[in-house]
Amino acid sequence: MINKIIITPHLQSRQQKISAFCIAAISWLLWLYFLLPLLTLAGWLLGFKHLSTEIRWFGGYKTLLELLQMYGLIIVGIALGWFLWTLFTSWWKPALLPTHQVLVDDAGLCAVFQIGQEQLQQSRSAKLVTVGFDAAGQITTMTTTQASH
Amino acid sequence: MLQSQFYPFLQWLIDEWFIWQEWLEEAPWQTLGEWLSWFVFYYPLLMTYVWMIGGILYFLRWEWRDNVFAGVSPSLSEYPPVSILIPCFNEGENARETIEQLLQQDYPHYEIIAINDGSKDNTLVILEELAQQHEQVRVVNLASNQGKAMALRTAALLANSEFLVCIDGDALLDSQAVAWMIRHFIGHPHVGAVTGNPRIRNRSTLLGRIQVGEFSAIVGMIKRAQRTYGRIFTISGVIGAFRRSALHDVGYWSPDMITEDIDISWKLQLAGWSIHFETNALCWVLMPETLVGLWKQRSRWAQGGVEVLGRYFSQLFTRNALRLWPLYLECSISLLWSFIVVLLIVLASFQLLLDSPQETLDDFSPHWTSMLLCVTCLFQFAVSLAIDARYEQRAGQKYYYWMIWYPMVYWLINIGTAVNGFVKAVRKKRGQRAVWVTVDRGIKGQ
Repeated sequence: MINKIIITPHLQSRQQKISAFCIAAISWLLWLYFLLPLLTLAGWLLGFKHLSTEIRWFGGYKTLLELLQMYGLIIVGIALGWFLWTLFTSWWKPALLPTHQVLVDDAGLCAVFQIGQEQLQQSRSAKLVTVGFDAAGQITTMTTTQASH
Repeated sequence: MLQSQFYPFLQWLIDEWFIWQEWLEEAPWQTLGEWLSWFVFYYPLLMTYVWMIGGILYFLRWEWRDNVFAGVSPSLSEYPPVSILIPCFNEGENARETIEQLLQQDYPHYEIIAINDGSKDNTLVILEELAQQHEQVRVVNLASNQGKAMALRTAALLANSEFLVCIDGDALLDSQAVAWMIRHFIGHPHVGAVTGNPRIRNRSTLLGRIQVGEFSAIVGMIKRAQRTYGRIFTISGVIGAFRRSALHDVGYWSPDMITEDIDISWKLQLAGWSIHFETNALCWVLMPETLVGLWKQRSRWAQGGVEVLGRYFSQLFTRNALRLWPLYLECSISLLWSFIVVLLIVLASFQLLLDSPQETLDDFSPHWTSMLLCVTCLFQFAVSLAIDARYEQRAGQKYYYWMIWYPMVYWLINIGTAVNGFVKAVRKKRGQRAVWVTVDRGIKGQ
């Protein structure tokens, strides 16, 4: 059974542990700093009226309402755009889809890679194929080792 | 004679200098600065909602309605043969694990083609051993190192199937993934490729844990939104399925592009092929867990994006390319955004040191706008992790806590790598073959 998830924090170096701790502390402080208006607003709305100075300093309650209105309109606009586009692509699907039906055959592959069809068949049934290239990336040799079937 | 010509020229230079100085002083720097600040602040906010609403629509349209769940294979009308390609370069440590996991695929007809791209370690010996042990495994040995794109091209030629699933040599493919990906090709002749859902394996360090959240929340959300839109910026290089005829149509992977996955995605879509996203095709991958490793990886991704923007600009004016315009614009604007952020950081540093520190610090003080950005960020993480929760139970709750570092740590890294990648892409010689890079695969400790 292969363990898909690897969690081995004890293998971290001392430097990694210290860096992670410092980044964590700084990040939490920054988040708290930027979410300070939210906490203040929550307090003010809950009735702590002495926070009104801070509310004014953050821009004022009226500004916040205007900002929220603007945000709301933008979000509704984006959602409407997405919705209309989804409807359009669902209804007009046949017109938007390409019609590629051609299946590439071995002759087509051999023409592009410049190798013989017999050589290709032989290589496809081998367990090990060693391929040599020239400087331009063109296949020069294909050596098979052992047939798989 | 010489003097009579020199003095008027000198006078002209001085006059020009004064005119320019006057123009520079009168230029609306204040307004320009404000516009740049708004752009830096509002662009990510706008895009967050674009991705989030697109992701929710994807969920409602495909994931929720179809009632699909990971852990169960879909029932298909037919099971066409599939070739699984694994390009390996110095994968001696991982190849056995990768192939043994592949042998557990819940799919009736498949072969595994492991490509040894001139490895310097014991990869070839291990692959040969596995080929002898298991009937489905074949080995393609490239006599000299050619790069991932060449390895994939050669394997596509030698594959016995029309459908190719490509994974990395250190990845673990979920046992139902092939069936989930192949369902997109059946009855949909326009589908040229399907991209899977990479999951992070190594979660020992802070960087590892942030990437779990990043792939679940940010990458998954963007892929979902792009699929809703109808065009995808890139197939995951680590897990993708292809129709060989589509690859043949566009000339296969380009050996000279540093990120062959972004390149093939654009080539296919420019030729009119569609790319689908399959969230149930899980693939467990190793990611860097050091800053240096992460910086190199992200710089390579950024460079790859810029290379693609440069190479396919001239092809954007065709009918098939019309729907790629928004992706092209988004990528270009994001790049511009990174440069402007760097510029503003430099200017703010100078202002802080020389000019008016108080004013500069005031710009960073909390206001309603910064609060709304933080709340949006937290909301986006919550929504995307909730959507993604069905693929990894309890990951959402567990890694939500770690996501708070994403804007602080990752945005800074991504801004730096975007600029670095751009410079590298501009300096790169056209036609230069892309080579494998030694990657940091995190702490494994086995």
